[in-house]
Amino acid sequence: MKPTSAKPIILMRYGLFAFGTLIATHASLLAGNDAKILSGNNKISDSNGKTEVAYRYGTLAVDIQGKVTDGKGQALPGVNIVVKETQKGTSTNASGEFLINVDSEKDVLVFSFIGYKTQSVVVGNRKEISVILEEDTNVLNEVVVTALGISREKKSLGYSTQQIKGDVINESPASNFVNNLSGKIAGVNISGAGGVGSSARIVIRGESSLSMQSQPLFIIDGVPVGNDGTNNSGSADYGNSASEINPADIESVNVLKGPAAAALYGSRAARGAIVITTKKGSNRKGVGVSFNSYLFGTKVGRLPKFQNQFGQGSNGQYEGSNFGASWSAYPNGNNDDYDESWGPRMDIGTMKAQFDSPTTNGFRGGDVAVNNRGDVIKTPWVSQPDNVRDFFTTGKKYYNNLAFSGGNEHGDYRLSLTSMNEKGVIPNNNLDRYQVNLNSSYRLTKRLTSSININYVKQTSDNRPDNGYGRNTFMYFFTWMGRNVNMNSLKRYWQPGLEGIRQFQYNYGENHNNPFFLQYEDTKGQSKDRVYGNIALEYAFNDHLKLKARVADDFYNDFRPMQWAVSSVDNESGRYEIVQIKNEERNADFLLSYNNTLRNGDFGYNISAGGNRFDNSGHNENVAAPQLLIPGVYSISNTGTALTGGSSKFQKRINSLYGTANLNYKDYVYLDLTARNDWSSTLPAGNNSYFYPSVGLNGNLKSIFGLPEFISQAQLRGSWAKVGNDTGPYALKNTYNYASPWGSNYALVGTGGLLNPNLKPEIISTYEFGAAVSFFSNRLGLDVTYYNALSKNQIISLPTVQSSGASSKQINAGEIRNKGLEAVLSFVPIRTADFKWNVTVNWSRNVGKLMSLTSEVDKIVQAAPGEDASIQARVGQKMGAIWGPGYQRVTADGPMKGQVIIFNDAYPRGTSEDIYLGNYHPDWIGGIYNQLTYKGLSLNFMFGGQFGGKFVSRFYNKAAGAGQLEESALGRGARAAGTEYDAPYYIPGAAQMADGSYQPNNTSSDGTYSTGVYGTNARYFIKKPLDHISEAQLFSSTYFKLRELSIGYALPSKWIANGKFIKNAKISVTGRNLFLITPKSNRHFDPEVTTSTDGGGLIPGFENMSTPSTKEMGISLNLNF
Amino acid sequence: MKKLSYISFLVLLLSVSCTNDFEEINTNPNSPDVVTNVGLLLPNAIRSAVNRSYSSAYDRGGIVANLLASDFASNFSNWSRNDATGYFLWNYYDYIRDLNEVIEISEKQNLKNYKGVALVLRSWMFQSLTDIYGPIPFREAANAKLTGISSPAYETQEAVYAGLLADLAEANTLLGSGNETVTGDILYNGNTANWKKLANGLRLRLLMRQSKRVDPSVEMKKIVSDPTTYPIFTSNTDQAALQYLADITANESPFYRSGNGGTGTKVSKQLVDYLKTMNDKRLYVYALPTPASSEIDASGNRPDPSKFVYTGDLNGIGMFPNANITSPSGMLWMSIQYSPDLASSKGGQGIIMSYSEVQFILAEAAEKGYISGGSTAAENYYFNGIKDQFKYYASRIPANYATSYLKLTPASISADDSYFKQDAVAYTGTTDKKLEKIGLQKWISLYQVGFEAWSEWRRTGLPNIPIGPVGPGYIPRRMLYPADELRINVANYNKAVSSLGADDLKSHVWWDK
Repeated sequence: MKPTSAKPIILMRYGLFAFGTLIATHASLLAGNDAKILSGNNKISDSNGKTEVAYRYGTLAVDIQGKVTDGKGQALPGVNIVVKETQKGTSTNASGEFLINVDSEKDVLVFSFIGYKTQSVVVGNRKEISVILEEDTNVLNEVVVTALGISREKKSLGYSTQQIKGDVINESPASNFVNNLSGKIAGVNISGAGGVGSSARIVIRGESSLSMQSQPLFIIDGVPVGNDGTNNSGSADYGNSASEINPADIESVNVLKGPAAAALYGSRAARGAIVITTKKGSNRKGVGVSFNSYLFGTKVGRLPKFQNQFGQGSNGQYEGSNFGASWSAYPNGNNDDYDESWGPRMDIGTMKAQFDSPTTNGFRGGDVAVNNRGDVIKTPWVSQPDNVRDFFTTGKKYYNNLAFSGGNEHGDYRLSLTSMNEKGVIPNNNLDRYQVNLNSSYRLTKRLTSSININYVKQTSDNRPDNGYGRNTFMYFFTWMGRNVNMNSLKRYWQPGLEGIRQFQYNYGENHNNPFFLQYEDTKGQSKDRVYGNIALEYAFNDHLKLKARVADDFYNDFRPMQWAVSSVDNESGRYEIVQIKNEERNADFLLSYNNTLRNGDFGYNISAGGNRFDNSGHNENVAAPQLLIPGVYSISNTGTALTGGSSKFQKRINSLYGTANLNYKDYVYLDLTARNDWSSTLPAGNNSYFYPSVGLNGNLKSIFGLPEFISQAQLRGSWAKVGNDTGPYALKNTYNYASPWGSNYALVGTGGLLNPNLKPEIISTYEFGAAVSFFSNRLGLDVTYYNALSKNQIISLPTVQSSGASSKQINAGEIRNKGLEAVLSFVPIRTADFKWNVTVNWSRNVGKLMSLTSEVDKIVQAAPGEDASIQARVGQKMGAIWGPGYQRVTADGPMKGQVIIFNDAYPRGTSEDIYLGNYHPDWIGGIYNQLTYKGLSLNFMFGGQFGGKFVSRFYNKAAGAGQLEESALGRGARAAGTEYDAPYYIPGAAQMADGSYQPNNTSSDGTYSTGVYGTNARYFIKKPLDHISEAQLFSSTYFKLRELSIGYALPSKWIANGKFIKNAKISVTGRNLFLITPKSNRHFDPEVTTSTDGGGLIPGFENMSTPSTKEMGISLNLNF
Repeated sequence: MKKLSYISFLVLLLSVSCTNDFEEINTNPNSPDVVTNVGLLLPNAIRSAVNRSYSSAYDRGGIVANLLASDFASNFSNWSRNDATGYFLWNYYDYIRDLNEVIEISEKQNLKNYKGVALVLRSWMFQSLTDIYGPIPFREAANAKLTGISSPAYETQEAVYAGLLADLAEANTLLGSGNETVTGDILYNGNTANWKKLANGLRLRLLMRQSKRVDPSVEMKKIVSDPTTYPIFTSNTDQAALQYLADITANESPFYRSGNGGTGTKVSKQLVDYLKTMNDKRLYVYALPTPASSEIDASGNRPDPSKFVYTGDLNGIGMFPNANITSPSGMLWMSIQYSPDLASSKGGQGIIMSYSEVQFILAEAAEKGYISGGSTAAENYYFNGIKDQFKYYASRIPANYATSYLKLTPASISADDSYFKQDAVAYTGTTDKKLEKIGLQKWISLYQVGFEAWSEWRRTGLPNIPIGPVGPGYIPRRMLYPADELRINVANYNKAVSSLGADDLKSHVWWDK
């Protein structure tokens, strides 16, 4: 492994080189204008400016320019500035700058910005006025960034949004940014699959799509970033693209929950939008520096509970010899080809020849490919209670961010450098990410402002996490691994003298990979370069009319080398494969906006019109050396057989035109109207244009009715919106696929999915109502939203019968209605000068229902990632339903009614028709966030959880059936040593007698299950009631966890030289996922990571060899200079 | 108003200019939507279908016919209802889809040879499907792309058989009549004469199989009496057996890397006992010595082959007592996991129809008087079938087996006079006895040939297969339809079931009554 210390240097080289050019370009722009503007600043105002103003207004008016910042020196965009008692007004631009024309020195400028205290400033003889706005403690009066980057007072919106400040996210940065949002926003459900940097699935307001693609759109400073469901190569999870967003650069995250909020972002925001605003530079003297450093230690969280009484073998018999390697020169042992734990009792003083027992020639028993291994010397047959836990290590995460910011009246910049180096709890699973962010704006002339925001991300990994059911994942291995196996004995994973050629295992008969071999030799690496950002120009024709034009780009190159060493199961001769993915998304847009007020500012209006062209294109290539010529050399040229590979490219375009009008009467009533039309290249001519409007209304009851003082705020809001949605490229016409050739016979094959040349756009329409009230100077506030969304004309792949020659056909069908309630309660129990305690509670509940499908079918299988169970949408029933075989039970009346039938072969059976098993959606989800500050000391903690919901576990099914889990010791654990496998076992249930009557199948009561009607052996006693009976594999998804805990201390300024050099310093101790509570019935899993990544995407409701969740503890240091 | 009309004009303009390059943008650049070289569609259809037949012979067809034994499969728990994907042979419909396209394109381009090849292949797949299930989607099947029919109707087995016999007759006429050379033919490398032989062989198979319901005499006589018009196989060299390649994984014999280490599936006791009793050397191809009798001793040596023990396992008894003392299936079908040195990526062939099978059909036909020649001719056909079996398996023994612990050479697989003259083999006895002998030899010859041995057992009851104590208590006579047919194609499914009786394992298909 490369020394990590070299990496920052590489970063500097890459990062600075890449950005050198950009910065230089931008700087030369600065320099080129310097002569005119920077040095001659006052002159412009004094002479030129006056002349110009005089020309324009024909009066003696004066232009005042300036900048508005917050207490920390951050620029505040969107601050309203009005000249008191006139109709004149403007607002600050993205850099917090403004330009306003006044008539007299006596004029008063009123700066207002919700979330901040309103400030009035007398102009006097100044030409330049900079204002620092003081933050208002009024929690509910926030300003949020809405669609198209328009800042709005939250109280003026007709729909529900929820904002989180960057510092809340930044308390403990997760390697996947999306996980930082967990539990913080009502109505947002996040699930993942585990492993460093692995994908996370985020769904807002429930599943609205039959194709399970309900992901919202991420917008970073106006630039869309997709977060597609999955990003797999083989079974390795490479993390979806929103994971790379850097928490340290985030000023705020605003979640626009429904289509009303997202109506202007178009199709891709049909299922909500997560709008991220990054930190900007500030107008201040000198260079501002902030430094944040985090060091986290990570431990594996909950692991399944294993039995520790019985070791490997079959029917109580085990003695090692060739450990199941029938190809080996050594003879078979007694049942040593069995991997499962149905062997003899451990810890009773017996000795066995084991895979890690020494041999007479100094080798290990399992070195079965070694010529002169010798005889195996028996060692004690003892349990290894922690063998699975021993596989995991302590993970480490270093996260450092250094940011410089500065500026003057003409421009500002912020340059942020971030490194994240994480080693997971899984051996050799790591992620290194280096990020550079430059955010800068500059006033080229008084009316023209340019801005640039560029991010460069370099992400590398030696090995990404593997997921799913297969020989490539270690959790799969743990379902079978004998309970007698000492994990540490597997660490030397080559057989001596056969390094690179023959792996070492505890069992060869069942074709498992040694988990350490898997982690260190069969690796899935990554090297990804990504640049995203935008360049914008904004021209202010006058105080009211502005035009903004912008080009945004997001492109990445992702290189994924994947290797399999010689002797890998399924790749006996080794394999090397490289995958190269390039993706680019470009958005070019313009926005013309006009704002003004009428009748002394009582009526305000803001009208905008704009357009956008979205272009997405990409290609990926993969090529593999399917068998290595020389072991251990990973090069495509090193192939022992014909290379295989493939490539694909795609292109998609959406053109859009849109407009919006925001009207208000005083702060009494606000009305928003939007309209948008999209033209998508993915839909057929004739159906590729679709229009969608929205309307929102908000009434401020406090102002209208002049409510009593103890009511701080009372507003009602409502909105209605429609959003259209298109599909992926090339979804209209069938093509042929390439089949692997037969010698020199090259081949094509037809495709199973029948495409449809007549697709129409999907339409989601939503209405919602909400109310926000707060009392006692906002110490108690409640924000409640009810929504009702109808998703129609969904583009779905309707399964067809295979006998039709098509596995599915694309159609427009289906109506899904989602209804839900979201509530945010904020409460300030204590607020004194020194002590403050804020509590925020999120709660949400969503119910989705399939209203109709098509005339052909009344149900559709949405996903079936496990064995037998599937997620099915059935007409008239709730979305998210898990169906699968249940037990055949007694239906005849009588004392046995409802009991599981035990047939004369001694086993229960699954129903041939699927039964309803449960819904993966929780009944509700919630979170409680507490912030306590006492002088410099702060304590933040967040609880989160969900109630209700179910998942099906494949690990449970396999591992219990293989004699590994605690449950599998039932019965045999209660029998006397040596007799465990002698007499039959009787599965509890209703034995079906020859005459059709029923009797209790198990009649023993001492826990041995040793008497009854139909008996079987110990293994089938456990396995048969589970196998292919999904009902038996079902768990509750209810959990409650301490998601985050942090204690911080801001050092008193006298400790840091009275703030002369270091302005402030804070030290924190942070923990994530510190404890987890689940119902008694679920001792094995953290429901938050029970998401399957098999197949096409992240599928909730299925545990499928999920990587366990982790808990983290760390310290952080934040310094500002 | 003026302004408004200007805006609407602008929108109109944009909407036109917005979309004029959309068709180009949305044209798939990765793969073709038209195929002109129709031979490109053949390799995958042949390979996939043969592989599926080969694989299901091992874990289903061979077990229900009691040629192989498996503790897992012999209670037929893996015959429970499942979705079509991966469900027995229902995947054939995917390959039939591609063959339907071959037929469609061939008709357009007047490619008679291609059409003939596609008809023969498709007939073989439909025959396998209907034999397993009974009524099946037939003329409307696997045509959704061409006809839009996504819920195909089922047709009775009687109708399917009639249709297949007509298709095969048409194929026999078409094959060789076209000018084009057939490419992509991985079975016969474009030799249309061999395809004709397969077409006629399949006709004989179909005629014999439905012989309890339809008198086959006229058709069979027509074929046998005119070998110029209706050629049939002359030996194992022109029989329909796919020879696997060792170039890439996809072209290796399906079990080569399958991970079956020889512990789950064994050779049946009934087969091993027959072979041992008759001193039939095919035993050494069909089965491996028990691990216990052939394992390496402490000094690193294997015992001499004369010490090898061959023992079959009983189906339907639940768990096997001890994997070490029973024989796995032979090395031709064994995986690399069992023996990296001996497992062969191209040892076993994917047999669609063998020369021997045709000979056994003719033997039975002659014995029953469907064709002329009587018992004398029958005896001739019968011995031809057996002798060719020995020749065939001798030719399959890889050279390195001679020096391996098996010490197996082509000469090891031979049958001398004493074999043919023993009571169990000699073509003597009553007609029933003779038919029984033909049945037994045919059953042995159908080792690893799809579901054919089971179909023959259903038709003739030969040999007598014992019912195991653990399981449903009977030998299945058909399979359940896939679950998605009940779910999605429900109206057609219900009709099919009403003509069948019940969609269970016990119902007899049309020819099995």
